[in-house]
Amino acid sequence: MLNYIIRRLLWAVVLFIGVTLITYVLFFLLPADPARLAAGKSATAEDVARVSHQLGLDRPVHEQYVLFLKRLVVDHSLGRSYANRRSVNEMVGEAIPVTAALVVGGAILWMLIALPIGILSALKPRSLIDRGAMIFILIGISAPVVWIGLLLQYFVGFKWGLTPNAGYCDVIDPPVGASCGGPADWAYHMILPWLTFAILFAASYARMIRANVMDTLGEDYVRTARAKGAPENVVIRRHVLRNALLPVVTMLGLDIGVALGGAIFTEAIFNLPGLGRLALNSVLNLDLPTMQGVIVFATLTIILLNLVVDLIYAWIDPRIRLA
Amino acid sequence: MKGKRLLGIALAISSLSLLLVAAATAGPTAKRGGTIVLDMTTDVDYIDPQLSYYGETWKLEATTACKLMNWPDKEGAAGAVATPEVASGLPLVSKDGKTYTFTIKPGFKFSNGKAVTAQSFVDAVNRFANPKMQSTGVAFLDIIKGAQAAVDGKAGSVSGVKARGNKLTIQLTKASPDLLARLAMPFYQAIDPTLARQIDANGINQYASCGPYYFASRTPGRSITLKRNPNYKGGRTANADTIQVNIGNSVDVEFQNVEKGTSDYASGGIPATEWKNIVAKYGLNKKDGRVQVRPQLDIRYVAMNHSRPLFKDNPQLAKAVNWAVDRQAFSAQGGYLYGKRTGQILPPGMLGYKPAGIYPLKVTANTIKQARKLAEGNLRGGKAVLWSSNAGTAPLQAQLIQYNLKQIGIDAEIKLLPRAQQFTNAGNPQTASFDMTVERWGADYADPYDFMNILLDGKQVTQPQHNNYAYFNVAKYNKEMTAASLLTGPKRGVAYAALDGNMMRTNPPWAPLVNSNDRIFLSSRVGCVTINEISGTGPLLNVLCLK
Amino acid sequence: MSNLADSAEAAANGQAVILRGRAALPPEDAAVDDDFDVGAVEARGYWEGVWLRLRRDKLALAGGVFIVLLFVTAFAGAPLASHFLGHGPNEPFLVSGGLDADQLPAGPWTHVGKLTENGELEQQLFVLGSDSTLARDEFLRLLYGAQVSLEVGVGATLLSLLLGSIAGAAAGFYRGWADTTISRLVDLTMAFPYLLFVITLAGTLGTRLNHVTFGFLGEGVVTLVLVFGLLGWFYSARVMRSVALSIREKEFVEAARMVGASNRRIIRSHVFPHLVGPLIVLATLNVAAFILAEAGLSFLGLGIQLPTASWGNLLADAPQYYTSRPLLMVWPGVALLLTTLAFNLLGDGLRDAFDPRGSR
Repeated sequence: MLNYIIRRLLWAVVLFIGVTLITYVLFFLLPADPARLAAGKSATAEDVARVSHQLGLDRPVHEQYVLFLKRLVVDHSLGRSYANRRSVNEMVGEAIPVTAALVVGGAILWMLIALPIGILSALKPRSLIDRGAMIFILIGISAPVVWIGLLLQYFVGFKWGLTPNAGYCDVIDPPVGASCGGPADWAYHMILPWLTFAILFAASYARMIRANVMDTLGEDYVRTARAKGAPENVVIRRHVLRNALLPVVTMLGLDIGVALGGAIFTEAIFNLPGLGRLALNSVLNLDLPTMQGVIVFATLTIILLNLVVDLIYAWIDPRIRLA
Repeated sequence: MKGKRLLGIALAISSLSLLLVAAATAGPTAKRGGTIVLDMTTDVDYIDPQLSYYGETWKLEATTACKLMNWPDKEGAAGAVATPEVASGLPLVSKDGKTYTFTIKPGFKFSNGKAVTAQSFVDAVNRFANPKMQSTGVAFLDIIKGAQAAVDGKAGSVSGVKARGNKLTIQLTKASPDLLARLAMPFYQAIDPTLARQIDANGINQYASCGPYYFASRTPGRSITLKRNPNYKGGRTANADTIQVNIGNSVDVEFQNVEKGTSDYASGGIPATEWKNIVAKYGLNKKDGRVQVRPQLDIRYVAMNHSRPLFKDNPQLAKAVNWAVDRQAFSAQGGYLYGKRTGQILPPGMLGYKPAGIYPLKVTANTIKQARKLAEGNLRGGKAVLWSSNAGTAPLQAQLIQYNLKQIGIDAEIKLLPRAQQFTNAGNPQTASFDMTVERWGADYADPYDFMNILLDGKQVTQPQHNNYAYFNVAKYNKEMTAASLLTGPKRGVAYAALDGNMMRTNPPWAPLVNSNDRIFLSSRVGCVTINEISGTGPLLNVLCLK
Repeated sequence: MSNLADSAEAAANGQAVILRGRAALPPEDAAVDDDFDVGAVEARGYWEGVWLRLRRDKLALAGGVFIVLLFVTAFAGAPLASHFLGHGPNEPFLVSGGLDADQLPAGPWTHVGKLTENGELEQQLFVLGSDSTLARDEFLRLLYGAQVSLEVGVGATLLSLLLGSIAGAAAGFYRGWADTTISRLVDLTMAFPYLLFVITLAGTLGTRLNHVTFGFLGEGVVTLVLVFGLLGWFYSARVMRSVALSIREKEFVEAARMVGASNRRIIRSHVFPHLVGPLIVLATLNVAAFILAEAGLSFLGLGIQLPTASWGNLLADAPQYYTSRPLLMVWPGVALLLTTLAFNLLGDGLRDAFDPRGSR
């Protein structure tokens, strides 16, 4: 096991270097001069040259990359935004809780929706529940997230006035003079974003859970358990669910990493100041450090999550760590 | 008996009159308190007083700044005259008109308790002129003696402004009739000694102010909060306790917010098609009504970048664009009461406005033909980059211009940017990679200098940050503009009108489109609606109160 | 993801038929299908079986028919409609009927006037009314938007599948260092925050690539195809790898090897036919995903460039007309929903047809 852990950790480090390297290089494909952008309002050529030297942009690319890595690993710094000179660490730090709230809350919601739908429809195939579930699943995975968000915002948020239509409230420490704050306001404002975010995943997870449960129901050991006379709910709980849901749990770990990106649309529609919107604005403003910072942070998260999931899976299933 | 009755009546009368007096004076105090909420679609450029040059920020700074001269918190003509605020009265002016002496009224304090002195204003001018600040507004310093040297880095401070006790002296390079109006711009507001020492071209986000409010906090991209200045003793109203600005909502969300009452003012606007509905629903320009529309000294135009190959020394193409753009359709995109079409640089109501009928205000088959004729042979490849804001109606308006340009053979690629980013990048020669940009300009004060010279004087185009988005630099016009700015009286208007007509006729820097109105949508929660377009668009935020 | 890999693998086996899940076969047909047994794979018989099973899935067929109709409508119908209606999707009709008396976009079935060369107004029809205050034909924009969606969906799928299946199949079949390298590359690509990278690349590379149209594609199509394709290949690579892995172990491959067939011949005659099935399933499902992704990006302003119509940017402009023309929100949303639904139904049906035993 230790062997596996070490191998996995090393690979994670390699992955991290690889992704940051590619990210860093790609930014040089941009039709923008980083030094000029960093110098920002500097007019003269001397100013641009000075900034260029300051940021190390006049050195060869590989040297710059090493500097970038060093600053990242040693100083834990992602640089400063070109748009407003704020530390990218600070901006990312402010945005993380918002996106985390959206993704984690959304994940809980989608599992709460997907589990009952998936399990029940698998246990009662071709019943009304099953058919209803299939319709929900199909529409959920086919409807554009953006459309669902806009519709919810208009009908639930505005027309029927049931929830706020946009905006984010801090759970703790709302800024001076903020119009809302605290857990109740926060949850109230997150209802529509959570729903919008969760529907797609709920549908695809419901489908996956349904398929897994149905397959497990056909397994030999289930037949054996039933033949031995075990009551149905014990069979379901102890044999079927546990085996059917294990792959789902691992998918969850991986999908949360993917979901970081998917939160962009929800954040744009509901004006949530999270990582997605930070990334979007930095792209529009050609704010390279912020773009890099968000990507590096998101990559770190994905790699870490993948690592954790792999390690858990290896611990549970010995075949994997011996491969 | 008689005496007692008389006494009783006297008492009754006097208590009645006391009550009446109390009722009469109780008005303003009864409406204080609460939080007013504004929605903006995109973030402001800065809240730093010497850097910010954006209408949305200036409406906030109208509540936080205290200035030598200011616009009264009144509507109409009464609000359009620069009136002494921190100055105890009109300044003493020397005979040659080049030296102004102000006396500072005591009693004004910053939100951190420090007193406002003559030095506070000197500090403001010095910080404004400091080349490290790289302020866009430095064009407004040009008449102050020693300012150019400071801006060029040759002097450490502006020699023409001096403080001695409570007296402030300003020396000009030439007699200038609009100095008092300029002093009412937020650039010249009093700043406290701490801010005076903070020199940063990226702008300071927290500082003490001396107006009825101060900036309590700013989270870039998210919110700005203003709170009542506890140390303010000047005469201006400060009704709400807090003014909260929320940033980032789209125009349809802003409309929903104000309609429902979760916001009080849609500062970023509402969907263009909603104006007709809300005018029908809530009426127009009623006292404290929810929908208010005022004309303003403003212009929406397409600036053509004369420093890039497409329009450089290419007056025929510039004229062709003026023939091709569909001003009527552009206005229609904005919805009901958007504004009036125009083909001139100066707006109606401004000294020097003279409609010359050079370009058509309506597109017909003939106008398209004429436009094509002018464009023929001058297309130079026919490819262009068109910049526009990405909020509200702007993308649609940009596509309209794109379509018009296509008719004369120009294939324009649209680039949408957040508004503050658009004009900041456009005004910086290093980042101005556009051929045309759809712009808007609102007058800072009612004088053609603020339109013509600020926007079209060629000497700015090399500055790190400026407002000459057309990069228009024609020596002849530069000279004429400077000459016109020295004239007074009707001659001033005549000179500017001639400039306007000549430029548009022979070598247009822009395609002027519409003079737009200030359209305001308010929630049902607010009252005390007072609008002063010179001071800023929208209702005066320090006067606005919760009903 | 694991479901897909497993079912693809099973499909490659051409295993005997025991249907489960949605469409259960009546007993007689089960007997018929027993003729297709394990072992030597008859290409013809295999495909016939697939088609028979697919035919029974009414929903999948409906999806397939819809898709065919969509292609026809988008690539033939759109130019035809434009020709008959007399105008294109990007022409504003601002002064002559495109906007109603309140300056709102005209409602469905409105007649507008087009300015001809000699200054007359020629009456034309807006089937679904105007798209916005720019008074362009919503119906035509929907049709041309279909073109863009399909171009991006199919293009990105082709690219990602091409890269992915070659890489994955090579990795699975050859194993050894090829497998290690490619698997590591897949891991690397999977570590990227997909959508973040997409918007960054689209926003930045887009400025360079948006003009590339090869004469017929919309502006921005090439950018999206490249970005989606280059970042999405890993998914198909993983699937193809496991399919190739399982085929590799099959007896017929062993047999062919014993007879002395070269690797290339084995791949060509024995492995490829079994890859096609899973490939088709992957392709259909990927097209759906890429169409949705394009809509999302265009909504954010980073995808298809204005004024080219795309369902995504039609959706972006629609909220402004919530109260006045709510149908403008409906058309692109429903178009997207139906298209993705059709591809998903077809894909599911194909998967069941290729692998009737379910995900095992």
